[in-house]
Amino acid sequence: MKVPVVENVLKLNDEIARLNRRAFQEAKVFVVDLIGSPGCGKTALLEATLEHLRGTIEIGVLVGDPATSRDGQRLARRCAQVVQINTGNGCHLDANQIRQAAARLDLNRLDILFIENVGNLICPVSFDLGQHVKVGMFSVSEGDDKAAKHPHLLLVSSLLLLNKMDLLPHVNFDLEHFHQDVRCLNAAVPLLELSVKHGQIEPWLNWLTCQGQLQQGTSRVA
Amino acid sequence: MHELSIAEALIDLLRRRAGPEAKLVSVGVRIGALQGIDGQCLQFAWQAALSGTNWQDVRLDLESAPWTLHCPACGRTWQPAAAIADQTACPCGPTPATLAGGDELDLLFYEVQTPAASGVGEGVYSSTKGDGP
Ligand SMILES: Nc1nc2c(ncn2[C@@H]2O[C@H](COP(=O)(O)OP(=O)(O)O)[C@@H](O)[C@H]2O)c(=O)[nH]1
Ligand SMILES: [Mg+2]
Ligand SMILES: [Zn+2]
Repeated sequence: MKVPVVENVLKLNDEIARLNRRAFQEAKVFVVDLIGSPGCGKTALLEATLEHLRGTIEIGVLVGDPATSRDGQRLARRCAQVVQINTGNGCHLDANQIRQAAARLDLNRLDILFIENVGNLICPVSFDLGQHVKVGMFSVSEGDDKAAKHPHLLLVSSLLLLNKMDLLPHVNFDLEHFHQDVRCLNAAVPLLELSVKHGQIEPWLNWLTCQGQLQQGTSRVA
Repeated sequence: MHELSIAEALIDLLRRRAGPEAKLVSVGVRIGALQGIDGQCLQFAWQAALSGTNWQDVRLDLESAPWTLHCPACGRTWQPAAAIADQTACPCGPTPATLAGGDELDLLFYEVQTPAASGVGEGVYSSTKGDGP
């Protein structure tokens, strides 16, 4: 006897994500899920962001890696509220891991919570964590075809970052081609070019400020 | 692995839907092309996750759903050949296409053993107490 169902396999994850989202909204914290391949500069970007925004707003970070707490330690030098999540064999973070890790933070004191997802352009896309926005991050040293090869990430991202612009003269990266691919898949998404290494992250800081204000309907994010 | 956590989520969903003691025969799942899930990997993960349990022989029937786009301007619906970005614009103009399929990850059905159906032929094997009409 066949029993028809039609129910999303990740329904449980999505239910927990909904709880997370509610908790984040109640605490008035803007939550960003940062997705990019290993080494594209996610931790470096968060370090620089913490540095720039120090004293103006309160930031927390949940950072996922298969192993080690190295990124957690890097970030903890600049941020009081950091939780490292080790996923073992897991190639993404799920809503339940976020729920447990977020319970160790004082959400009410935060303005922005960054989630540095496990370095991977595929799996993290499918898992709703309760974030307000997903941000897709690339770097020029990965090659100009990575956006085209990961359409799902392109479709769900509210913002795209292209990092390591300082390396552009040294690598085979056709910037125009990359932009074309992005526009094909998602005509509306903003694409910001950064060089985290050289502190060139102003467009990102501006975007963050605008989003934080829009999301909260207040000017709590200065 | 991604596929392993998908398999585990699926088993979880089935336990709640069908009950942990259900005599499952097969399970149907639809996977959209954008999900980045490899069918063989998922089969492997399914077996690994269920081996040694009451569901270890349950068959996993996978159905794939192609990446499908829809043009709101002219109503055209099409499927870009592979998951590549160069067939995502509609020839009719600049209106961006919307996603009409390919992000599915759905449990479609589960099949359970039907005691009554075994009355003819195979009844010898499966008729147990209380099974009769
Ligand atoms: N040249 C260059 N290197 C960068 C830039 N941003 C990050 N990196 C380097 O890229 C490597 C990986 O950075 P990390 O933040 O650990 O990447 P993650 O794995 O995405 O967290 C480090 O050696 C960084 O110093 C950049 O803008 N330009
Ligand atoms: Mg990192
Ligand atoms: Zn059209």
